Amino acid sequence: MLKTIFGKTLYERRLSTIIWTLAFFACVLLIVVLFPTFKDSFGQALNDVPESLKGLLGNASDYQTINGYVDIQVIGQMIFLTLILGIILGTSFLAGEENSRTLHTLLVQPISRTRIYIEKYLAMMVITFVAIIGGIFGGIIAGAIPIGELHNTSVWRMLQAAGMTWLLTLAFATLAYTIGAITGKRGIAGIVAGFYAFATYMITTLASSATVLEKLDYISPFHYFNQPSVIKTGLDSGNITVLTAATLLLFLIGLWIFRKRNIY
Amino acid sequence: MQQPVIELSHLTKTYGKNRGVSDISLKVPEGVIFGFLGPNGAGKSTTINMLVNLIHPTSGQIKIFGKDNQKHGLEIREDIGFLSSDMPLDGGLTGWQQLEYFGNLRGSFDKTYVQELAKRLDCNLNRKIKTLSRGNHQKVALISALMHKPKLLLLDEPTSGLDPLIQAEFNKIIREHKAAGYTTFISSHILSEIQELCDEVAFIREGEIIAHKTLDELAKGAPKQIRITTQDKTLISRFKKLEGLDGVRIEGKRIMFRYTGHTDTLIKLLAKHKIEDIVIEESDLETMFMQFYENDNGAK
Repeated sequence: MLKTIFGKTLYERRLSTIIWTLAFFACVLLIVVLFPTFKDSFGQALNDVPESLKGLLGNASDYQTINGYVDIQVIGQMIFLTLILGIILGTSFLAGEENSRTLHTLLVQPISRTRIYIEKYLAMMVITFVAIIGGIFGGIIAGAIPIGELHNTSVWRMLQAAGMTWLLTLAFATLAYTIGAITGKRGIAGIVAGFYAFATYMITTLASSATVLEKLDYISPFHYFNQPSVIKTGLDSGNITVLTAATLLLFLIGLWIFRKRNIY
Repeated sequence: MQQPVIELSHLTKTYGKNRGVSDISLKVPEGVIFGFLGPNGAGKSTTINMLVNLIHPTSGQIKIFGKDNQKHGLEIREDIGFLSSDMPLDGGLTGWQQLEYFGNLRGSFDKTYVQELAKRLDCNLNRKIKTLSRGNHQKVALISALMHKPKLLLLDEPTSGLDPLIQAEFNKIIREHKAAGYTTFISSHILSEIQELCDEVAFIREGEIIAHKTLDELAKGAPKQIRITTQDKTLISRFKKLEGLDGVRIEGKRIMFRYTGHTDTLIKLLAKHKIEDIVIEESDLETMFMQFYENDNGAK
């Protein structure tokens, strides 16, 4: 594991990766096994909720199937936790190491900045992938078995939805990583990425009921996440393209500046 | 003429309106131990950080092994060993894992040599770095700088935290490095360390090199410390005729001063008086350093 920066980064994060994966798994498992309870009670209560809030809470009919329930309660809610993981990793891998000055020790070795930047980023991709796919997809499947809903579950669509969750998480993680690479300041990277996540989530959520936000919604990564629902309609190639392109662009901007700037 | 290992040409680094270093030019020949001296904030670390490409010069050029270090930094760093006083390492790794990791990144890891260095420095490599004392942490960092037998060692306050016995072993290793024909560049404010190790020194003050000399040249121009014990009250008035006399202090029957003139002239003068005792000492580097900076301050 200590042969490359990528391997060493994974080795260092092995315990936290397992903890995050198990935490996601436990959360999702708990949500899914509660499906029968929600199906009977909570779904009906939503009939009285104003239209504007249904964007947040979903429709009553969504709670009547395991697929609809997972879409709202797992894919729609777990993203907040996965974004926290992504932003923590994005801020710690370069900016965090620069703040603790271990990056300096690495940079005086005969290794290019490009290699450091790419290998650490790859490690971030792998960790978020393992935690999200393992924790969320694993949790859904494991939760559906004891309540007898596995045969009603669209397994392939669940995996695709978990994949989109990973892609959105990676976009925000990349934003944090890039700002960290540009500024060298973990706090700034975390605040900017966190604020952007909060602001754009609110924009996307309220855009359907506030026309003034409709155009702004296009700069929100959430606009390209699960709209339309991946579990109901499958992956949207347009959404994947936009999120991937934005992530790649951020990645390249960060790399370009990180290669040139002074490391104090 | 032999190509210098380090060549700085009109090197300048500014931080916005603030000065880092200003128009530094310096040549460090191959096979010497070179001391880079200056008070805190003079620009020593700025210079070293530019040598290892952590920061980029505002203007000027750095050549190491004859190559431009902005263009060939990666290649150059293969032959450099770097150590700073507070070199952060990965706390979660053991000393051995840390060194193995750096070795793997370099593409070679000589286990036998690492073990030999660890033994010489009395360094336990099996403990996690976060559990190590400052001195033992510094030993691991020192091994990381030495383990690939670099042609150039860049040491920024290297012995900070090391006990005297390990410092002595460190000095021995640096001399062996020199004996192998390699070069060492030490930045320090521990002047006794520089005096013991170095062949040449450069003094930096407020980002500018104010002197670059060999230790022999420094010693020649440096004042001797003279201490005379005498009851003769008239002697002090005779000193007024002496050239190169400075900093006279009188404590009871002892007269102390710095003297840069001919020793012969002084002895002839003293021979005419009744002297109980006389001590003549060469200046140490600290005295020279203080004089340099005092004079320079005075000049400014």
